[in-house]
Amino acid sequence: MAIISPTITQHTIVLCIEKRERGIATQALLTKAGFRVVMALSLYDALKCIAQEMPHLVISEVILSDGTAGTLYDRLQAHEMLKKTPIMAHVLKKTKEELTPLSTRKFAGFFLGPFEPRGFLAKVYEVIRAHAAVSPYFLDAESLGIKTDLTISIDAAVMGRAGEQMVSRSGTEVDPAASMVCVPASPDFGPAVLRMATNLRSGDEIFNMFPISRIIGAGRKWVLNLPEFKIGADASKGPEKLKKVVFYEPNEARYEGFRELLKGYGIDLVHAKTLPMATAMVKRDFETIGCVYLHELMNDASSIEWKGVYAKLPGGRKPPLIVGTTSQNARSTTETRYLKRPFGMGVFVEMLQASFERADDIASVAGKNAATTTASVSVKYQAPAILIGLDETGGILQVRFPLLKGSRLNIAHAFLQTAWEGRAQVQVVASAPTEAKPDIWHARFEAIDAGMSKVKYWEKLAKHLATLPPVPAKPAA
Amino acid sequence: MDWTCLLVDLSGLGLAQTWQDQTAGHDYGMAISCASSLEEAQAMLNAGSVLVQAFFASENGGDLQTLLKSFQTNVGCISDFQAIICDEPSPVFMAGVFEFGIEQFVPMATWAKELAAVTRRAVELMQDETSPEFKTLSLSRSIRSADQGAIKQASDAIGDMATYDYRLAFAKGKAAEASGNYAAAADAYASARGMNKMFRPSASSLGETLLVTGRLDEALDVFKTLEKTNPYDVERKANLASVYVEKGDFETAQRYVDAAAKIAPNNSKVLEAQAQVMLCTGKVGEAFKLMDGMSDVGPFFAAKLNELGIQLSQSGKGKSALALYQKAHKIVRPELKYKITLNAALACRRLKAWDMAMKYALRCEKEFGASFAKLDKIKESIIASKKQEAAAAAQGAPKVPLPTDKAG
Repeated sequence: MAIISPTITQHTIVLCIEKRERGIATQALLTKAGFRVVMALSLYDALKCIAQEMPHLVISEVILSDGTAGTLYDRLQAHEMLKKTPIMAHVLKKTKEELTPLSTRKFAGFFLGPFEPRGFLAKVYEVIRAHAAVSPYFLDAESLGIKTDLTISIDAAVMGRAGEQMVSRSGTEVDPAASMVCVPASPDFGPAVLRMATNLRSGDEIFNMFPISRIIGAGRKWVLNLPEFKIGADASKGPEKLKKVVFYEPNEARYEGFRELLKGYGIDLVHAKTLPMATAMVKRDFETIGCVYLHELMNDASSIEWKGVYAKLPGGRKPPLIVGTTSQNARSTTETRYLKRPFGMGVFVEMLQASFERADDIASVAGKNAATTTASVSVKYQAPAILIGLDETGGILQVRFPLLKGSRLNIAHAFLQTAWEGRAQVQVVASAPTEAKPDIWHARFEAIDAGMSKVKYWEKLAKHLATLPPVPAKPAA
Repeated sequence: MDWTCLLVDLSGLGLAQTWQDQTAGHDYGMAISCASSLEEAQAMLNAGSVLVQAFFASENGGDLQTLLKSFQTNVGCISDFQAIICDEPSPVFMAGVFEFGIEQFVPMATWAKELAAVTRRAVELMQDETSPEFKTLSLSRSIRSADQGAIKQASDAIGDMATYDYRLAFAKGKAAEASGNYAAAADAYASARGMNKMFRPSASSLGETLLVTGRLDEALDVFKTLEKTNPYDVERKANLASVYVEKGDFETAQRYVDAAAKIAPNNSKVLEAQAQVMLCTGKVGEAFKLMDGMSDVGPFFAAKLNELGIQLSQSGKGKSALALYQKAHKIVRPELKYKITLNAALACRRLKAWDMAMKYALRCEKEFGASFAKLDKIKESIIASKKQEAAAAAQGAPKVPLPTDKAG
C-alpha cells in the first residue's frame, strides 16, 4: 500500500468526558492542533456521536456519568461498522475504580494522570499515527481488488484569449503547478496540455487563465484562433505604457537587476525595500498598480498589517498579489498567487503578465450583455489518477500535481459510479505531496454532499464492496 | 538504454565527496554521476548516456554556457531535463540560463529529492516513443552524427507535431540547418517562436539563420528585441556585431564586439565576431590567430571561412586555402565539416593534387553520411583529370587545363 501523506486527513475526535469544564481546554488544544473535535458528556451521548460522526479516534475518560470507557469499548466492539474505532483512555487517577474497566480490553492508548497539554497531544498523535493515520475505515483500493486507474476531469468552457492567456470559465480553481489535458467536447478540436494556471474570481464565477505559450498539443491550432478580448490593462492603457508592479525585495541589487530586465518585457517595477513601504504604496495607489510582488510574507507584525490593508481593498479591482515562498505546500488562491522560490525568469514574467488581467473585466466580457463575442468551447480538463483507497466520506487519489482544496472533480471509474449510483462528482478537501516523492501528490476527496449521512454513505458503499469477488492472496516472497 | 543524470559542480562545493550520501535513498530511475570540471562533464555528455543535467552554479560563467550548449547538441533543447541548483539566483543569472530555455531552479536544501522527480519524469518520457522529448533526442543525436540520412529520418518522424509543439518546431529548424536548408530552418524557428514567445532559443536561432541567409534587417530586428530583455548576453552582442559587419557598419560592429569581449573575451562567438571584423578590415593574419580559440563554429562564420578559402584558392593561393580549411575543419560544428572538406577537395583539384583531392572527397562522403550528386561529379572529374594528366604525361602532351568550377 502507498504511504499516504498524513497531512491530508482532518481527523475527527470524539472526546468523552464526565464534566464539560474538564473538556474545554482539551477541546481547544485539539482544535488548535487541526483536529475536528466533538464533545460528548456521557456514554449515551458518546455512542450517539460516534455512530453519527464515525470518528478517527475516541478519547474517553475512564469514568463517565452513565458508564465507563470499558462499556464504551464493549459497545463499539459489538458494532460491525464501528469496531475498528481506536479508543484512547484518559486515566485521571490510578485508582482501582478507574483501572478495572481497562483490564482485558485492547485500548489503542492510555494517558495517565491529570491533563498536561504537551504530553497529551504527543500521545494523541502517536495513537492516530498507529491506528488511524488515514481513517480506521480506510480500505486500500488494491486489496479490495478494484481498478486503481481512473481519470479525473473538470468541466469548463473556453471563452477566448486575453493577451497571451487563454481564458476559460469553470466551477473550480486549478493549481498553477497542475498539468492537465484540455479535451474539447467537439471532435473537430484537438486536445491540448494546459499548464501554469492563474485563477480569477468575480463573485461566484471562477475563471482559469493559461499562458498560450505554454500550451502544447494538437489543440494549439484552435486555441490560437480564439477571439481576443480587449480588456484590462491592455485596453485601458496604451501599448507604450509600462505596467506597474510594486516589488517588495529587501535586496536592492536584486531589485535593480529585475528592474532592468523586466523593462524589456514592458513591466515597470517600483521598489519597496520593506513590507511597510509596499503596504503604504498599495494603500495609496492601488488603482494604478498592475500587480504586487512580495519576496516573502511571514507572520510578523508588518505582514499582518499588509494582510489587513490588502483585505480591505475593493474586491475585483485590487491588484493581484504574487508571493515568493520556499514552501512546497503553499497553494495559490485567486487572491494570492504563490511562486515557489527559486523561480525561472519565464515563469516569473508570465505570472506577472497574467496578473495584469482583472477578474471583473473578464466577467464583464463573459456577461450576458457583453459586447465581445466569446468562443464558449465546452471542454474538460482531464488528468490520469490512481485511486489509493476509500474511506467513510470519499477516499484518496494519487495525482502528478497538486489539486486545490474545494476543487470539484468528475471521476470516471466504473465501480465508483455504480457504488455512487451514477454520481461522479467529488470535492477535494486536502492535498499534499508525498514525503518521498515531491512530484507525486495525494488528494483526499469527499463524495458526500453537505447534510448527507456518513453512516448511510458507508453502509451503501460497504454493500457494493461486498459484491466484489475475493482478491486472491499474493504469494509470499 | 541506461540513462545518467549528470551533476556538475561549478560552485566548488566539493560535491564529488558528498553527492553519493546526499542522493542515497532517493529513487532517480537512472544512474547518477558527478563531474567537477568542464572536461569531465563534456566527456560524459559526449559519451551519450546523459539525459538529465543539473548544475550547482550561481553565476553564468563560460563553463556553464559551454555545457548548456553541449547538452543542447547531445540531448536537445529540452529545458525540463535540466536544472540549476542554487538558492537565490541573481536576475542576470536567471536571464542568462533562460537564453537556453532553462527555468528550473532547485533549492539546495531539497535538491536530491526534487531532482529525483525530474529524472523519473525524464525516464517516463523516454519510454514513450511518441513523446516530443523522445523525438527531440532522436533528432539531436542524428544531427550530432552529421549523417544526413539519419537526420532526414528523424526529422520525418516528427510529422505534423512540429506544427503545434514549439520544441519540435525548434528541433526541426536545427535539422534543416544541419542539412544546409537555412530558409526552411528560419521558417521552423519562426514557427517555434510564434508558438512560444518566451522560448528564447528559437528567437536566437531565428536571428542567426536570418543572418546566414542575408536577411539582415530582419535579423537585426530579432536581436535587438532580444537585447532589450537581456542586455547581458555575450553571444547576442556578437551576433549584433556580425549583422553590423554585414551591413558595412564596422564602427557599430566594433562597439558590440568590445562590449561582448568585455564580458567574455574568450567566448568562441565573440572571437568569431572579432575575426569577422578583422577579415572585413583586411587583418587576415590576426583573424587566423583568433581561430585557435574557437569551437563549435556555426553556419554563418563557417560560410565566411568557406568564402575566404574559395577566394584564396581561386587567386592561386591554394596552399593557404588548404591551411585555412584545415583550421576551419577543426572548429566548425560536426554537421558543417563536410562543406569544408568538399571545398578542400576542390582546392586540391585546382592544385592538381589528385590523390589528396580524392582523399578529401571520400572524407566528405563519410562526413555527409552518403554520397550526393555534386560530390559524385567532383569525384568523377578528379579521376578523369588524373587519368588525362597521366595519359598526357605519357604522350608528352600539354598540361591538363584547370577545372572550371567556381568553388574550391
